[in-house]
Amino acid sequence: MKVVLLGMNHRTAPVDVRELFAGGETQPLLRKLIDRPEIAEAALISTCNRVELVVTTDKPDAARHVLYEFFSRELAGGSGPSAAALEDMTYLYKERDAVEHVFRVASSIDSMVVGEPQILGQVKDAYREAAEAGVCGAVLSRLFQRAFATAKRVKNETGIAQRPVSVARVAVDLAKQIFETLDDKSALLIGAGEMVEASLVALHDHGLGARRIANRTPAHAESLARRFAGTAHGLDEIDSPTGKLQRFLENYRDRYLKDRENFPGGCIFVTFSVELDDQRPHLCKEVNKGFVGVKGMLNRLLDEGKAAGELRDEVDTSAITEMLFAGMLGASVIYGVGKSPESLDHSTNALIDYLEQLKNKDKPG
Amino acid sequence: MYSLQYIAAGLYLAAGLAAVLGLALPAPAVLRGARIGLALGAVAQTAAFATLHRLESAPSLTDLGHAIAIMAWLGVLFLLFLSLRLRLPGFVPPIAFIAFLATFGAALGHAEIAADDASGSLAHAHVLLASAGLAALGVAGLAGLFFLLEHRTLKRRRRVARRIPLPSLEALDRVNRVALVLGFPLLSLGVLTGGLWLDARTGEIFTGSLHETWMLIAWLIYAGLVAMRFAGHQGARQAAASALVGFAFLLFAVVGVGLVS
Repeated sequence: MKVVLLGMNHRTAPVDVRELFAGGETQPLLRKLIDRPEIAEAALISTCNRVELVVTTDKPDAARHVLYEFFSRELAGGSGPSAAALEDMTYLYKERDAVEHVFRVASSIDSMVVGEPQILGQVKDAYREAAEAGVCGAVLSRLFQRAFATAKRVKNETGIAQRPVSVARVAVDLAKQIFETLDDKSALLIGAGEMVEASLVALHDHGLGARRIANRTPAHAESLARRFAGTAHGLDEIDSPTGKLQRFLENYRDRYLKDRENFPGGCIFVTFSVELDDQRPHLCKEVNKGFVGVKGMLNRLLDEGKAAGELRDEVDTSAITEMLFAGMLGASVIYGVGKSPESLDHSTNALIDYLEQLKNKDKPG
Repeated sequence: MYSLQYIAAGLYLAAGLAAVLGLALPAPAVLRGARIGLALGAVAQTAAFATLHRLESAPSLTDLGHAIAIMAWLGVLFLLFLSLRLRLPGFVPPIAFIAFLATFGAALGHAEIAADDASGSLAHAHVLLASAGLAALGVAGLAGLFFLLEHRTLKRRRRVARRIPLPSLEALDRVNRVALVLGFPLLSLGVLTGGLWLDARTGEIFTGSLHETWMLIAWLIYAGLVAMRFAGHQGARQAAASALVGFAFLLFAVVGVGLVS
């Protein structure tokens, strides 16, 4: 009986490919794999950085084809790359090499952050799932038991786990190396898995100002966002030009004009422009550049939204730009005079509603 | 009088050693002690300057060793000022050791007595303003050096958890910015008063000496750097490299030219 391992990790495949293979019920998949006559035992190690199938077989060459096919058709639910394309993104180990690889993975030597402790638990989970599915026989059981013992030895006899290490910890260390304080920063975390949760805890503990969680399934992001007082977003939202435009207007309403500490006079462009007019024409010119820049951004996002089919074909983006811009300035002037949050909300929400009406209703999402 | 300078030098040395120890352990309490040592050193040096100034045979401020001691003292004060707002433990050892060497050297050398033409208010204004500018720009140069080291470490992904905690890139960039904002006008005033002092002595505002020529080149380089930085044509890394190169020119104009000639 030979051990064969087929897998992909953070070094061989980009995250958007890896995530196609994440999720799904493990046990039915393993039972399906074991139904193939070439496969005797099987286990699936699935983490955010790796997906690996470990099997035992009497026919390694035939098993290789089965594994590629299974990877492509079953693990990715039919949406993954073809078996041929997968060869460039995966690694295949046999016999001694496969055993050695499992030992390295369990010992966290093969991890993105060497020494991170989570991987051992994830390998144990993989073993438990295989055992519960009844697809883990004597060879794989012995392999995993030896891998756990090896991981323990590596941990105890080397300095690999002397300091608490994790992707989350590294993310915080990196952020602190770049930024003096995290209080006034916001972070966008993509995904809603264990690593993101651990990163949120670490960033929250270090006083991160604002948290945004984007995930392909917004519901998962929402539950995390609720726990960490963040905001949840769908992944498509990040790419959507009209989504960006809407966010821009919301920020203008919620965070810019109402930020009395930093902008006590309302819209800084309007205030400067009024104060500098006639007295400092060259400075007024600089402020005008800001106006032009904002207007250009609005126009660009509208053009992109129209090109992407998010806005109706008949929308005149130049005219809408002027209208939105005038509306924003009007809202800021009214707010600057009366300091009435209700009036500001009303004016800006009208602009957001108007933008909504321009959307192409035939476009899904 | 010189004993106060020796005391200041001793305090600077102790502060530098404590800072190295505090960073290596790392021990925040020892680092705090190092900052206090640095502040006490600055107080002792201030007292030393006051004493020297009151002497009948006051040493010349234009003496290079003495001017460097003033520069180091102002650099220490500038660092202490910045430390009120930013965490800058990595700056303490180099500045403390430079201050130690400068103060100890000035005390040991017993600076030459002021000549008549070097004792006027223009001479004092020139030395004090130029020294203050140099001190601030020196801190900008040091921040630039740290920024480049830190940036290189980050880009090479060698070691994320730092054994020696240099300040964050954001803090280093802020130091660079503040130091340029303060240092360049002071340096400009120093150059201007130097020209006026020269005019009073020789009747010419520029005689073409090596020191004047290099100082003018260094000033022009800084003028260009400041214009590029604040016009938004420079990123933080370019600004850091520029601050380092600019200070090298400036150092050559002040110290290097003296050694060469």
